[in-house]
Amino acid sequence: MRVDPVTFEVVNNALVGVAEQMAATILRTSYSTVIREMLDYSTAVFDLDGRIIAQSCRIPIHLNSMSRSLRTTLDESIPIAGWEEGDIVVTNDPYKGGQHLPDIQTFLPVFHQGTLVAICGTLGHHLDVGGMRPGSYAGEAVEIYQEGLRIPPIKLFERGRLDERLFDLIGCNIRLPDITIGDLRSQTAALEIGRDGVIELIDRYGADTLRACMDEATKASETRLRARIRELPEGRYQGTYFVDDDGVLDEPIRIVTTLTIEDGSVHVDFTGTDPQRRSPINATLSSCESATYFAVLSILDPTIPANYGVYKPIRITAPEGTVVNALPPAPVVGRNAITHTIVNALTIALSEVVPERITAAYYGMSNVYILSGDSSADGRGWIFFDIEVGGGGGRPAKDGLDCYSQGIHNLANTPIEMVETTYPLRFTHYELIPDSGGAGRSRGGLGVRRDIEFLDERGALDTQFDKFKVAPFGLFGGGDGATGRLVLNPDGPEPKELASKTVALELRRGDVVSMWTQGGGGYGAPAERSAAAIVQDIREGKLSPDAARERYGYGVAAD
Amino acid sequence: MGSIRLGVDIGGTFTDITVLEVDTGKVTVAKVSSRRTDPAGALIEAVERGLELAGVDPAEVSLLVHGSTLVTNAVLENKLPKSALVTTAGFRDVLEIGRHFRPDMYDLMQDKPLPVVPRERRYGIGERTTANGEILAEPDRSEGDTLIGAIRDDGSEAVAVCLLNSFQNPDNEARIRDWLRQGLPGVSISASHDVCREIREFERMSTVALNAAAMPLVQRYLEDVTPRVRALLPNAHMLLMQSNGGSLTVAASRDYPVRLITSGPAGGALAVQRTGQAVRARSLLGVDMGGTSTDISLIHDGELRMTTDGEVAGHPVKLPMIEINTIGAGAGSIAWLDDRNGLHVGPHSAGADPGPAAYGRGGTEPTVADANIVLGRLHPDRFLGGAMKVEIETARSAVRERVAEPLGMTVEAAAAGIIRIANANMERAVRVSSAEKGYDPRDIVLLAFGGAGPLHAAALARSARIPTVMVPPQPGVFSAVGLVMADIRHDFVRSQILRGDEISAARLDSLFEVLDEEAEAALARDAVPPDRRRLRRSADIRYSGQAYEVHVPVPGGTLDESAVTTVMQAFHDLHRQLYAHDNPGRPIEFVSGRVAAIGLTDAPALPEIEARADGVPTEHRPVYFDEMQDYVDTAIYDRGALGPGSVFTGPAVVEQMDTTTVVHPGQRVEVDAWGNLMISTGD
Repeated sequence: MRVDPVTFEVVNNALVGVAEQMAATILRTSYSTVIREMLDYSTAVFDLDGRIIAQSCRIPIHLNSMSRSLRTTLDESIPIAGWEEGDIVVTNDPYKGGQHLPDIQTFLPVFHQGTLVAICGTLGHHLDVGGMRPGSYAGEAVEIYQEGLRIPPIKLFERGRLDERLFDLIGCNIRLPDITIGDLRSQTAALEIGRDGVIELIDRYGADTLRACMDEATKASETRLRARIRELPEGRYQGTYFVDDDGVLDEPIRIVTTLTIEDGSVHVDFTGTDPQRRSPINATLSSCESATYFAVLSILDPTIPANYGVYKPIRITAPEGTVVNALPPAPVVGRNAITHTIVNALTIALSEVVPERITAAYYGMSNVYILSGDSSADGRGWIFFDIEVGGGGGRPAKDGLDCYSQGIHNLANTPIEMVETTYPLRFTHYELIPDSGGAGRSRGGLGVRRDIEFLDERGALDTQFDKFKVAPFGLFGGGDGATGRLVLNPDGPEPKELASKTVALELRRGDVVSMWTQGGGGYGAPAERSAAAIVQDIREGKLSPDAARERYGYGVAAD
Repeated sequence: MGSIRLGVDIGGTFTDITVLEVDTGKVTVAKVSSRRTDPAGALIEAVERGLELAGVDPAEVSLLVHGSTLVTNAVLENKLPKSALVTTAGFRDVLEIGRHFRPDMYDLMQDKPLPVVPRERRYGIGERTTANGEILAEPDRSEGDTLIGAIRDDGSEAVAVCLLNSFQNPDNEARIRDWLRQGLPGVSISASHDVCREIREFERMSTVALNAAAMPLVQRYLEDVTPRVRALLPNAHMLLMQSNGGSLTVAASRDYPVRLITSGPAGGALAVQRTGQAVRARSLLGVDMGGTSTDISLIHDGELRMTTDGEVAGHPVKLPMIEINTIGAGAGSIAWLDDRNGLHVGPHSAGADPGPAAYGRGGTEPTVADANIVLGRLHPDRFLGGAMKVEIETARSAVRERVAEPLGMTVEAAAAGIIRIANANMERAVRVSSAEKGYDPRDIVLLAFGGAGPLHAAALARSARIPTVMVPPQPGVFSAVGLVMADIRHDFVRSQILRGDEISAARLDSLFEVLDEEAEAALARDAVPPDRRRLRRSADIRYSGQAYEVHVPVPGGTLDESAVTTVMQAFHDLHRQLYAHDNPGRPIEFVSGRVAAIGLTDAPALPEIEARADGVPTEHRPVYFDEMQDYVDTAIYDRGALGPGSVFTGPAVVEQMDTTTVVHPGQRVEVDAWGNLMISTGD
């Protein structure tokens, strides 16, 4: 069946509306600050082959993950014939299409008059899924078994009946079961809202039309991306970039991308990338694919709807056993050090092809920090999980954005007053870092300094930062952005520089944890920067007079 | 005292006036062009025109309610006066960092909103209050003096003060505010706890920064307009329309201008509510479609739906305001094909210049208005009462060349498709406002206004399964009609987080008592007599651990345990209604108490109109309806000839000066006692 362009546009809009409705339900009813303040969750609608059709605007890296998990579930665990009305399937298995254990995904089959027509899905990053460390970022893990509870695709609800035993099993393997199970309930409630939305659409347009529109949606995106690719010069392009280290072995990790543009498709080959590590800095294939799809789509044409169709013109070769396609039982919770580095490596490769559409390197890491403590009202301890961002890369005609979400993640910060009301923590600093943006015709965005005083008796700090050694690069003559740093008690008598991947650092009352996030790289030669822009940066205190002199030669002759 | 009320709505293009004669209920409306550099001049001109048309004596006017886009436009155009911000040392960039979530996942070239106060005028001061309200460090007077000197030198006309945790204990913030007031005469000072005493520092800071920056602007305007109004209307009291659907005195407007931020659309929403009261409809959707955008509001169970998550140009405004969902779909929205011939409508708009292709002012891209012209729905000679010349052939060729030919469709099918997609865009927003919030569309009346609302409403309602569409007598100036009906309103809030057993009748009672006192005092300042005062309480409640609250009504008077139990039960029920589940076993968290202080201005009921003989069509002409896939001979009615009791069945088109109403085949229209067209959509 062929649908007319008008019905197609109308139905597609409505499907995005369904995903947005699901997202609103999760936002309003979830319990952990990770979901409700940081917005680390996503929702989507899939066809019966597990291909993603419509999504809410949340986190780029989740979207392929959900599609990949669902397809793997259908292929390997629960074939489509085994899905019944009222079922909800749950999984977080990175080796079955997922990315890391905290991301729990749920899927619900939508039936219309007894026939399966679509699948709704949600993904939420959970505060704790067990394992060695509170918050489930076990920096010393050498196997995935140490990272927490691994849930293969199984039915949490069967024909509308909740399997309470599963909640019991999950609940006694994790640290704060009330929060995690509350968040899971909010994910399943969102699925029901999504199901009702899809059924209403079928009532109006018919199941055949819906199916045809879903089919057409992926074809349309595929065709549009192929058309964009065809506009590019064919050839092979290379980009290599590095992760600082894996937190255990102090050696950089090399990510090699070779990009071949040919006949309306892009082949991304990771051959030459380093072998997987015995540390949590590994990405499964799903993570590697998500990062690649994001980079290609955002650079070539961000207006194309990001459904399964945009995956098809992109072919990926990721050798097994490398950090971009790790094999079990490699631990994977810190996979974002790899995925952000993939995006920036592909930026280098594409900088020769489409210099007008790329940015210099952004901060390059989802800077995760977890503070945990012993005492809370109910004596069960507490966990505060947060991610901070840094500066965006300089752009062809605009500066990089100061302290703004970039790349494969998209997170909100947690309000200081909300944190202080909930946890024994007090902030002492949250300000942009002058001079942290790389110099250039377009300056890199500034990183941010966020300092927190620890007020519990005892507790710990765990972090997954990166780009403390490898700087966010500038392009076309632009300077590098500032590297990140982490300092204990920066203003005390003995400030202590900490490693980017700090594990279980013991904290006492009064300790101050100070994080300095990375600045973005500059774009174009600093000599081409306008005097007005330099003056404004100095006036705003974003650029010191010394740096203005050193980097731009400003005020040397004149002034 | 006279008995005439005026509502004046200053918009970007037109300034609208409504003259209401309270005794007879007679309503007169007029429009004049807005003046960019002299908005008060347009207001005076509109008042003079309105009074002349109505034939009433200016001395008889007792009340003028004024809606204005002054603040909104200054924010949108980045033209707010120069201002400064004072905050806790170490946190001056909170305003610029914001929540750092990007609205578009993939666009690498997107920008974030420029902060209301640039970094060089944001100052930190040493001080600290904890999250439970304990003062760790008081501000130092000498540091305050240094600050005053710096602000005097930087040329700021206004200063916002927002300290961490001032929502819990405002002592430090109030002290700094007072120092600034003493040290900076002539500079407007605004403190966050005075404007919005709520948790979340960025949102509160954004609100107070907007408020402070708008103060000099609004004060200058009021100093200009107030004497001119007084000279013309010696016995009139002037009030300003707020975003919350209530009006505000001139004195309070000088201190809290951020409350005026969606003043114009709020007037429209209020008119929807008051119309609903008159015709006894409990649930209504207001759809105000103009040239570039559509504003959607919802009345549920007679009450306007409010939100505290509003924003303007990306800047959060954390104050209760009527929830108005604005989408970029209007008569001027452009239809375009993507590189795979996918058809889209908007968000780009041809605006007023060059406007739709049919205006013949150089526009070549087909718009929603062009599609309506192609289908015969808009009569080319009677556009805006014949004031605007419209070229049907230009409209046809734009639709043909840009849409129909590339898609291999007829011009009519393409035009009908453009309208269906525009309607679908609006429908998605209508659903956000209704179905998503747990309301059943079958109980709703869709009230269509604005220049283009009645053109689309009947089809829109049918696809959204809304059974009834109402078109008021003067859809083009409906927002100004709402203004004459506004009560005075102030909102007070106090955040105090109470968990589980801490939520006692005694605690809540003392919290609401404090709020009631503030509310009474504000109404007394506005000289509202005690018997015209109404206090409406509500509470923001959530399950412990959630971040978003449900607004639950709270009874007045002394709160006892049974009242508290009722409130808690209402919370569970609302949570289930809104989000499809509840958790009665989970501990509950009380976050904020709110009191709305309302001063009744005794707005009259809408007048009923005398019944008239059935209107007869003035002519018939062919109009294209996509459900028939063809032109249909269609009856054309003149709105002026229709009165209560008129009944007819579609296909029909009703023409009037400021809008055109389309009735689809088979839909039935009845004119009610107030002169509204009531269309049964057939669903």
